[in-house]
Amino acid sequence: MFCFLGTKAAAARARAVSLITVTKMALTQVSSAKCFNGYQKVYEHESSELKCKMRFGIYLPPKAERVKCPVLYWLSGLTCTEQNFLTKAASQQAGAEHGIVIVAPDTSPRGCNIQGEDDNWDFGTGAGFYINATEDPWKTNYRMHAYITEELPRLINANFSVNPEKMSIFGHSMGGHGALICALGNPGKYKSVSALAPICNPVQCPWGQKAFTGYLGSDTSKWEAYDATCLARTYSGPLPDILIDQGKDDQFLAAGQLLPDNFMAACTDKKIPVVFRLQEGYDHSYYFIATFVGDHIKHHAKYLNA
Amino acid sequence: MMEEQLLPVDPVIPEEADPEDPQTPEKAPGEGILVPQGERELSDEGQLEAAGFQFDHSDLCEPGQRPQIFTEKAAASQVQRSGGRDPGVNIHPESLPISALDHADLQFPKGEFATGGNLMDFSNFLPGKQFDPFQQIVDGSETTSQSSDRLLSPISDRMEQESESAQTAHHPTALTMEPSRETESELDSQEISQDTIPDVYCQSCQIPIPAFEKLFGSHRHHRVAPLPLAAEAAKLECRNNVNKLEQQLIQMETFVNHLEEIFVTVEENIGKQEHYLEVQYDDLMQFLVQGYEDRSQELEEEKKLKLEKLYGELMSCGQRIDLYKELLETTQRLFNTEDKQTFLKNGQTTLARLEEFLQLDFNPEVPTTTEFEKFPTDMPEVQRLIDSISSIPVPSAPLMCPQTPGTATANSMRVRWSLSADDTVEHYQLYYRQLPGGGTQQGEAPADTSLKVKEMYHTIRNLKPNTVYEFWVTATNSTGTSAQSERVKHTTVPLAPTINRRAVASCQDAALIEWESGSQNPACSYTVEFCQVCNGCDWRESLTESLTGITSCPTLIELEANENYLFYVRALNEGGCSERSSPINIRTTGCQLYLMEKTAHLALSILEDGLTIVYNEDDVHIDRPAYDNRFTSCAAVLGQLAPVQGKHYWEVEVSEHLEYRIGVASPNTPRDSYPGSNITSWCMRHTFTPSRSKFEFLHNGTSPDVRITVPPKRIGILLDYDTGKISFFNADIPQNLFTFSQQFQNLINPCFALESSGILKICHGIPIPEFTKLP
Repeated sequence: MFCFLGTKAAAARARAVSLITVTKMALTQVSSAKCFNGYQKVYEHESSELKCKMRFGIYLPPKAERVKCPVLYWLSGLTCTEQNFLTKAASQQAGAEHGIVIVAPDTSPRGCNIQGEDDNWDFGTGAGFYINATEDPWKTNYRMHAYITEELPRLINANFSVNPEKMSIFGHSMGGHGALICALGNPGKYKSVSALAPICNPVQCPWGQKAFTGYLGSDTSKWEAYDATCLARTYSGPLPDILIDQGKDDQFLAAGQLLPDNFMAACTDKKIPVVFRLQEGYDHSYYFIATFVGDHIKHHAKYLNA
Repeated sequence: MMEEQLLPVDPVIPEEADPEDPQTPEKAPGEGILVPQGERELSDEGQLEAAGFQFDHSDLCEPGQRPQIFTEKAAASQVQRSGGRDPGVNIHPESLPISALDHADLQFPKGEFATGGNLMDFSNFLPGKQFDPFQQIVDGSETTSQSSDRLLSPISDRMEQESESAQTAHHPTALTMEPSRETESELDSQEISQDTIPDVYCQSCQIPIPAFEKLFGSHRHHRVAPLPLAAEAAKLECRNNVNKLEQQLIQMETFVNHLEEIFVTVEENIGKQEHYLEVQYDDLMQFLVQGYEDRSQELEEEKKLKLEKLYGELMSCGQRIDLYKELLETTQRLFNTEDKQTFLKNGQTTLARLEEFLQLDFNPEVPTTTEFEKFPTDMPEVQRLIDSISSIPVPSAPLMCPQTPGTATANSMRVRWSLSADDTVEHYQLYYRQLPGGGTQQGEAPADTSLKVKEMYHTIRNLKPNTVYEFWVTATNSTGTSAQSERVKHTTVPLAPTINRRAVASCQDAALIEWESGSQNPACSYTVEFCQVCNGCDWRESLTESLTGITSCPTLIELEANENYLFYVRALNEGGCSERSSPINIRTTGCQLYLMEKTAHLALSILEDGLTIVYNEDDVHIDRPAYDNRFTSCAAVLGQLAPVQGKHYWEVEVSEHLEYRIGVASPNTPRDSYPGSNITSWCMRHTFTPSRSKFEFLHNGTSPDVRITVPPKRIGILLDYDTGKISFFNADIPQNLFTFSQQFQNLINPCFALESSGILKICHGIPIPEFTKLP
């Protein structure tokens, strides 16, 4: 009996090892730098969802050498690559302190040679909006939602010493929108979620309307699946503790691109716990992010290290 | 004396002694054992005790001698009884038989050993029940009666040795009972058959016999028992008897000790008496000698004086006689003068001289009396001295003992005094009075109360707690009363303090408790006693720690985290410590706070639990005492935490529509301003409009713009001095609502304020939750 189980387990392990080897082969380390006793690395890989080479940054805290650490996914905003967060947000110290692996993927597929992909800064390259496009010509490559919620976690769990049970997500602006829809669209998948100046209600704002029309077509009912406010209105599942920071002097807040009040109203109605902090004097920049990223990582650490 | 006391036992003896009667002597020698008829009857009834006992005596003497002794003894006892006297009962039943038997060998007068024999038999035949009470009475007098016997004995030296040997043989005898039985059984088996080995015990004959004897032999109709069983029973009996002996020995030793004590005491007392007598006779003699000397000296002086006077008189009389003679001669000569002229011429002067002389009044007197003057003897003094010889001296003033710990309670006190060893006292008069003003007042004021006491101590009751009393005492005997003793001060202990249950604060590692003194006068200090309580243990047996010499109230006590404690307080003064206060239970799980009611706004009510705050906008309690410390504008109240740094966590239950301000404030935060509106307070404010709830986190009048989607019903507040943070949580979700970062230099207080009518309930004693770890 035990012998049988043992051989079976051994066989399973052998298979797993071969699988890892295969996927590992697909990961290419682009850079590695020691940072707060851990390592800030960048990897490149061939994405099956996006049908292109994708890069992501990963911070491995010193603790990751000893134990499997939880993973916190960061989603950047419009125009960003994985580099912006790594170089500007100064998140590594908090990651090292709380023993959290921070994964920062790119914001869209790149080099797919789609007509007009580089024409706009708020659509196409650098503006994937973390949705699965349904319209041509985007639907083949622009599957950022599937990439963020499925492929990337699988890749990370297979290649790094992380705890696959413990993941959380946060982001900024479009990434904040991405974080909220990933969390609210997949109840229970993420232990916690937070956002900095997120686009809270894309169906109501110019950025969102433009992107959704392009990626999803003109049927607005299909949009709602990628709108945080709409998702909040219909949310059922374990209540996430959502932390949102917003600069009061954010020009996009004033321009009506972010619409946090709509999201807050929806969450108030649905009793989804949100703490929304309007930070006096801050704008939409990475200076704002760098100021509060520590609070956010700590917020996630509460749930990831619980 | 002793005999009279014991006489009631006497009638038993003739009955029981019957078997000893010489009428049945042929039976005794035949069997070779000391088992008379009566004994058999008893053992037939299964009285193994008596059976076990008998071997003692049979073992002590040669088989051949036994019949002879037996008869003699019996005869002797008869004689004894007819003499109407039964000294046997006075004699130790265990030790004497040996000597008695030995005496028999020595052909002592019958009366001597008969007493022993009598008793021996008596003790043998009587069942334990009848025998025991008697034996106990006798115990005390055993030694004395024995020694008196010794003195009576013609050859007392030998007797002494023998009784000594008897006493030493005491134990061995009992211990060797077992072998004795064997020898007997041997004897018996020899009688029955030389070859067989006994394997059962005949209860009727009390001898081991071979089994076939039961079946076919002389024991055919007797009751038999297995040999081991019989032996066991006999051993048990033997052991019981040994125990009895040992007990008696102990009693005996105790009695001897007692006698020795009495001996010493009597010796001392008599010695004292002799001393008194000597002193008193000395006094008397001295007095008499003094009287004699005084008197004889006086007599001597008187004699001298009188003789001198008489001598002087004698001398002057002689001179006078000379003068007479000379005058007579001169006159004679003159008379004889022939010559007339010459006679007349000379005679003139002589005659004139004679005339002059005769005219002098001659009246010789004895200058002193010959009689004795009456000499006053001080008879009353003599009488007094003589009287005092038979009486005792007046005692000297007793010596009051200082107060010793543990002799006083809150309303009673035990005072003691001592006396000079030579004094005899009939009773004491104890005086006491209450000293006002903490006993600082001096002087010889009269007593409030006095009472007569026989002992050298007394417990006075119905005193006031925590009060100083002054005590003194006089001793009185038939001769008189002593002077007053020195006055001593005793203090009653204070009443037990009362722990203020609504003023207890605790945290993980300390507790703050407050109490009220039970007495009017202040106690010197307090002792806080506490013990850990574990669930399921008997807490009264757990280790108690105590902190003594506490003068400040409230007081802070360091404790261990996550334990359950019981606290008691005692008050202390010079007289000792009070009873324990009733206990208070404190858990060092989480923190416990209390509301400082003296800071509460007049419109706030704090309910009986001490933790629920009720605010009614229309109902201001103007009847309450006005303290300067009260909040005046905002319906707020401060709480008190254990005054230590570290972490403190408490929760507040609020309803959704309640408007409140909760947080922390410095103890000296302005009472006329709203919490959060100044730099000495930090608070979360909830305001409610029909459309929405607004939450503010106020400090110095400003709040960051924070919106909360789920209004908390249970707000957790974490005050962390270590990291310098005050965090607010929605404890139900749990969600961190806001965190103030502020390094506190001084201790601060929880603060609760209501801005709309309603109820706010504080929950404490909650372990610091996990979710507060990363606010």
